[in-house]
Amino acid sequence: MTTPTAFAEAARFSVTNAELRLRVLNLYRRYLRHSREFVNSYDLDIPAYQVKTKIRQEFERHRFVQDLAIKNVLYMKGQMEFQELVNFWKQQCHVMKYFEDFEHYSSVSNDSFVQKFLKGATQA
Amino acid sequence: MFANIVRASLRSSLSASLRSTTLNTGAFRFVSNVSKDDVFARSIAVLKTFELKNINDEITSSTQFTKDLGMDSLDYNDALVALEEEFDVVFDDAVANEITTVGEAVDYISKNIMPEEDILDKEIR
Repeated sequence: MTTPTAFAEAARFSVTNAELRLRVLNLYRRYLRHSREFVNSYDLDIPAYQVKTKIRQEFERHRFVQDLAIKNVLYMKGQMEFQELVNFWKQQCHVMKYFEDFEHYSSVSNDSFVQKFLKGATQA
Repeated sequence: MFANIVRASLRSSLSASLRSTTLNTGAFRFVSNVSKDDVFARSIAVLKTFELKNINDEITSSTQFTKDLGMDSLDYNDALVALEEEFDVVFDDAVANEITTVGEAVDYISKNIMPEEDILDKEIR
């Protein structure tokens, strides 16, 4: 049974960069701690260290974001993603999307609606 | 990957010292007698698996993660989680953000370390 509020966090706007920084680092640590659990629960054919690397990459992507409002939203999305992952609200394919091959991704023809839908593209 | 192997072998070689625990019957809890030196030696072995700035410098208890080991905030948290996995402790959020030196981390670990229990599956923990 899943508890809907497990790992939930009330949305809160951090008004200083220093405070938000600590919250992000706490979130990063929480992700890393559960990396092995992600592998186990989603039956990933990926070692935990590779999941850790991917978590790191996802955090690094937003390293140089300057706008505090945007950073708050990114933190909130990261926290929601964590909650969904750790509560097993996703399926394997949703997790494997992070490990998709870049070259393969762009070479798929993406002109029809169905192909875009199957690829999971969020933008037209 | 090699880091994980090194950690696994470390764990097995040093688990003998962990198992020699004393049973505190009054409080119904196990007390670990892992010495601080053990914790320190294992911590250094874990830290050596990372890419450090001055790999040849000796790591002492006053070595700073950011300044001396050349870690940024994410590297440092990687190291903390590696230490957590080695010793099976969890750094409290408030504490983890305050720790700056290896010595402080070792102090926290040796205060909070619990002996291994064979009944529990390590994977689940």
